Amino acid sequence: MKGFVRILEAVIASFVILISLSYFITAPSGYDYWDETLLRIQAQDALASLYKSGSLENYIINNDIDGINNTLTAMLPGTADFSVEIKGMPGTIIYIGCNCSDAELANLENMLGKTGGEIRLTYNGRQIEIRVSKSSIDNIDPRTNIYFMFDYTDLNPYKDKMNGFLQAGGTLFMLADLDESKVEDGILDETFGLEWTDITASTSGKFYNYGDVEKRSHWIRNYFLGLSGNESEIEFDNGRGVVNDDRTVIIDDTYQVSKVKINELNCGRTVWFAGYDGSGDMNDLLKALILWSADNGYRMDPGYKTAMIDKLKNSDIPYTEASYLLPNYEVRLRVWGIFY
Amino acid sequence: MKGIINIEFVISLLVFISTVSFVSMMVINSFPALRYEALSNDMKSKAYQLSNVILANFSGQETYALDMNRINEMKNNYCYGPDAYEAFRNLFSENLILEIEQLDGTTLISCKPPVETRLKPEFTLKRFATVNNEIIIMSIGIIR
Repeated sequence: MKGFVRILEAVIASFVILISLSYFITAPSGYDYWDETLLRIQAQDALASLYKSGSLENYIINNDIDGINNTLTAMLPGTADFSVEIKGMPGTIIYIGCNCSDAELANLENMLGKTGGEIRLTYNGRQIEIRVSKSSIDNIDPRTNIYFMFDYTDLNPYKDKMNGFLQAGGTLFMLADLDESKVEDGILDETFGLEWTDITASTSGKFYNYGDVEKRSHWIRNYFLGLSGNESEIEFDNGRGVVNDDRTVIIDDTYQVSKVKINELNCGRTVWFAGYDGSGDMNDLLKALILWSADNGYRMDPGYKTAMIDKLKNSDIPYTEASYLLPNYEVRLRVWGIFY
Repeated sequence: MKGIINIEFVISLLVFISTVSFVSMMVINSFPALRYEALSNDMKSKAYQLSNVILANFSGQETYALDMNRINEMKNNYCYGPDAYEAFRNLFSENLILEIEQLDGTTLISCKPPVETRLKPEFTLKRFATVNNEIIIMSIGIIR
């Protein structure tokens, strides 16, 4: 019996040794990231080459979706698919729904420079059309990018509709002079991110901290310069009392009070604009804010890719991303293997 | 009975031998996979390094904008003639394939061995750049 137990012990011990050794000695066969790396190198090369050849800007300015897709298809591996996104450049058509009367609608169209029955902006050589229509907050057209409000509007009764619009990626735009009670109405303070202060602002305003590319004011100023070419300060008609922070776009000379402020939510954006006086600079600032509001990552992809790109956003499918930064916008190329 | 080996010793010996054999087999079997992995990694990193060197060498003032004169110089010195490939290989100390073509398939340069082999491991990396504002595909192949 003694011998049998020893044999059993030896057998058990050998099994333990074998199992331990197999754990330590197994050849590493992990994912080596080369495929992803090489795909990224090619994506970065493709963007840089497109830019150097002069094609990239032409495709973007002319909104040539087929052109950019055909060229990238010829360059990237056949087993990869891709999506092109432009940051810092809105789509070719911006839809604005306006909570306004007929007279206010005409006024807004004039502010945006309506000529010949249509509103067209040229930004970095690219034509952008703005379509404005009257709209009730109860029934916003799903294509609407920006919901525009003249003067203060109490949005509390429409909170659900408003949140639904923001969730869909829309922007609430309020052109209004405010007082303390309006700022603290539960929407302007919580959703628009405004906070009242009793400090009186100076009449002159300038872009807040625009040298910092992390600040939205930097990008909005790019739009402003692209539209007006004016780098001087903007004169506002009077002081407003909203606290300054990193969401400030225009700040007064005392560097304490905001005159124009944006807020970026998880989904959707808000813009508050005060002290509008109808000058040319003001209209360019308004257009710049509208371009920024509608800049929600403009994609230059054929329609059939939409479902796949939406799936990519909400899944763990691996992809790699390359980007190319131009002076006023950024081009992002997202590439993934079709056999994921 | 004194001459007969103890059964415990025999079984222990068998267990020991099987353990050592198992471990040895496992180590030996992992060698080809590890060697192939090392070779593959080496070829890929070498191809990337050489592609950067060649891109930099062919570029003029700007990156990604290649100078056609430099490409022609390489083509004339290293890609034609009986001993051209030997000189090309010595230049990079690698069995290298270099091809540059436009997107429409027009070949600008093709430096490769006179005899192609399918037996040796090969890795090809594609890079993109421009020549005279035309996009080109540069393929760098490493043969081991």
